[in-house]
Amino acid sequence: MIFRWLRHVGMIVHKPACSPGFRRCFSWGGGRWNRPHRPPTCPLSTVTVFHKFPLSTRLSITTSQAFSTAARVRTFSLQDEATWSYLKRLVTEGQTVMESLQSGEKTDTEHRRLVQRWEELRHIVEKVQQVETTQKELVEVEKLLSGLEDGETEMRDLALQEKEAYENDMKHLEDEILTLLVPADEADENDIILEVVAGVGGQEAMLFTSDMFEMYCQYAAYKNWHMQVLTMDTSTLGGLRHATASIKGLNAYKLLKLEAGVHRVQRVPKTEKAGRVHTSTMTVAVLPQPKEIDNTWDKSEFKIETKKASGAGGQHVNKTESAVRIVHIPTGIAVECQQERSQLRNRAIAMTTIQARLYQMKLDQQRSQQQLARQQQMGTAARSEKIRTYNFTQDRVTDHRAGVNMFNLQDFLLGGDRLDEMIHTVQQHLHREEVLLIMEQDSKQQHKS
Amino acid sequence: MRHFLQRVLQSRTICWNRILNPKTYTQGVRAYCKLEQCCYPVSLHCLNNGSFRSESLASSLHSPESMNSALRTYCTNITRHDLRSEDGGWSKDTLDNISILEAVSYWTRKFETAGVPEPGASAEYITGHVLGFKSFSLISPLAQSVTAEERTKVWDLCEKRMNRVPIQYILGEWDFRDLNLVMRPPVFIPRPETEELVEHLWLYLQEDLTREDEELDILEVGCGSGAISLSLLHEFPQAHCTAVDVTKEAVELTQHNAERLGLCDRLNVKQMQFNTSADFETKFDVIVSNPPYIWTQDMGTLEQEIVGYENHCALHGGTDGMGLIRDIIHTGHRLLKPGGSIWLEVDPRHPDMIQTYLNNHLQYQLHLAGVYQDFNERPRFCCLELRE
Repeated sequence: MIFRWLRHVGMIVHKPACSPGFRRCFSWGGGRWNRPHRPPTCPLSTVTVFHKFPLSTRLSITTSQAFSTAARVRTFSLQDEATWSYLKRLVTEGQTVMESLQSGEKTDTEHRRLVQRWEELRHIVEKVQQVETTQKELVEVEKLLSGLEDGETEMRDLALQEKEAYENDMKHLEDEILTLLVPADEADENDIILEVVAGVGGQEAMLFTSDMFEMYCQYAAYKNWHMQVLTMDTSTLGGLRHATASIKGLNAYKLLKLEAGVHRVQRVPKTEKAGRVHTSTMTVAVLPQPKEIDNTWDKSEFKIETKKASGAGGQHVNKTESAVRIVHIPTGIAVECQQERSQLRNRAIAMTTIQARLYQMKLDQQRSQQQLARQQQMGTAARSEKIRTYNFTQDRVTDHRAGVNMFNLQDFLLGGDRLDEMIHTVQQHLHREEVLLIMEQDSKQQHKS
Repeated sequence: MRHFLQRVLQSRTICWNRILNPKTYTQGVRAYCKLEQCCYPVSLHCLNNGSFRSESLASSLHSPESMNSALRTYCTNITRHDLRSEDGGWSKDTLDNISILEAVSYWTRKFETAGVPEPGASAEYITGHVLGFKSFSLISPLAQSVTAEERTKVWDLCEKRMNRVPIQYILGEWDFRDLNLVMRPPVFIPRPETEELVEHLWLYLQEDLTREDEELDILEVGCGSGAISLSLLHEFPQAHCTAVDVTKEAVELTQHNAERLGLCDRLNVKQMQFNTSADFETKFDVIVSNPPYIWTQDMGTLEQEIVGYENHCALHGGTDGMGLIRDIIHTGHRLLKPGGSIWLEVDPRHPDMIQTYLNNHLQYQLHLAGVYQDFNERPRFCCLELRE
């Protein structure tokens, strides 16, 4: 009996995770000993634990599906009412920010905050105004079209052309607004370190890793990025266990960050004698390299301690003690300087010292954050966490995030146009999802207030 | 560092055994400073006597430089016990091979008992100066003994300080911003606030000046040692300065300093009484001054160093301290180029008075464009702009 139940467990484990067979195991029971409509009753109490596991997994699968379909139904579009009202809110916020900026009489930090917000909103406000004018034009063209009589074919053609042009404009504007709405990643401008690691699948995974690394090298060349291979750990068969490269160039992080994750390959490996299709994985991690961190510490964060004259100061006293001590209040770091006779100079020296120290701290912090990001991207390299599948038998690449298929795999692996297209599609898709999320949060907040 | 500490500890052990009874000795607090991933066990016996400054230890955790100062405080404290035990009496042979730290602590104590202000800083500056350093913290803590020659020099200079001569006159030189200037009695010694005045003016001009080759004519009224003019000339290569002072000593000292710094070709020094009839060949972009601004009622409260050695006409500004300030405002509007400004260091009570004065004398076409605070957060610097 127990053996039977263990076999049942085995059935699930055998199937590649998230494959239709895997899911079938939950929905119909799966396996030889299960009947389609009656879930197996469990004779042992310990096995009930097992029952809970697939149930919860199934739940999470369905909810995630529900979420993603919901997201797909509510797409981002200018015709969509929710989108439009969200944009309107942004525009009104922009106007209020502008007004308060012009009214003056503000503290320094508040002023800076407002200016920053205005910089963020400015482009959106502009674009929305453009959309409004285009919409007006469109309405007028429509009116013209409906007013035309049958005979005026020339006029109709012209009007139709114009309408098409406006519609094109609208599409472009929609794309532009979309990219504007996505909050910029702080590291977008940074140089990156690309890391590829072979995952599950032994020699075959290493061979695939080598293919992928080559693809990224070619993509870097295609994009005119400067790429430098840092480490390469090759296997005996010409595969790649692990490799890192530093890539410098415009938008390198912005584009390649979408490549981070588990890539799955399905093909008949060179090592395979019986001609069976294997599934292996490799992982890509993309880490932004810390760039020159600008010294963005506010003056109010520092407490400057000097030997203060107790009396009237100025000409009334003659003080020679010039030691200066600066404390960075949030971190409690303190720096003292007394090497100069001039207090002003001591202050300047202490300031640069403390800023260098804070910079070092920020750098360390960034490094540990990077470590964390790397771990997240690498995941467990299980076959189920894939972001993309390369199916050689069907000559197809599927990106699981955007749900896009592309054919002609060999061409894709050259790392040229087709990879670029794929990355842009995924980017567009992720942007849409992100904007929808932002809009949802915003509308929730609106409801609350 | 550690070796030094050990050496200090060894050489002082005998004294300690004599001074501190065995009980307090064993109770000595042992603190470990983690510094650059090394552990320096610092035994702070001084903590028992409450004389060790705990904040210097706290700061030493953050910076290696202040570790030096913590160590130095520690060493000074040891020598202080030493002195106390001998009731301040020094035998002939101790005087002969005296260490730097001992000399400093000896004079600090002497200044303290004589009521000389800033006893520690005075002793440190004098010792540092004799050894050829600008400030005491630059001396390596490993440098231990002084030669007999240096010792006599330190003793001479410190005796002067006992007579309340300002440190700057004793050393004969002092720093102002990036420059080192000769100081000579009775010429007024520039104060740290004046450095800030130049800093504000520097920022103001920096914003104003776009081209490198733009002419910049500056007039300084009451130049003293020439500090303001010379640092402006040093920081603005296109600037030309006219510096005037009423006393002969000040004019000579300014000229001397300018020659030393190689800035005399762009500086024109004049000895004259700056009053309402003052006139110059050119007009100026900036008039800057640290005029005498001490009120007559306050003249009696000044420190002995100031009253006894500095020129009174560089300090005393009349019954309300506004004597020369009024003259500068009155004459200044006539001497300024359009868009020019007047920069003054004044008493904290003066900005309001200047505002009222300008309101009552609209014919000068000047307005108070800004009042800036000094590092003690007192309104100290005034910027007056010519109305367009």
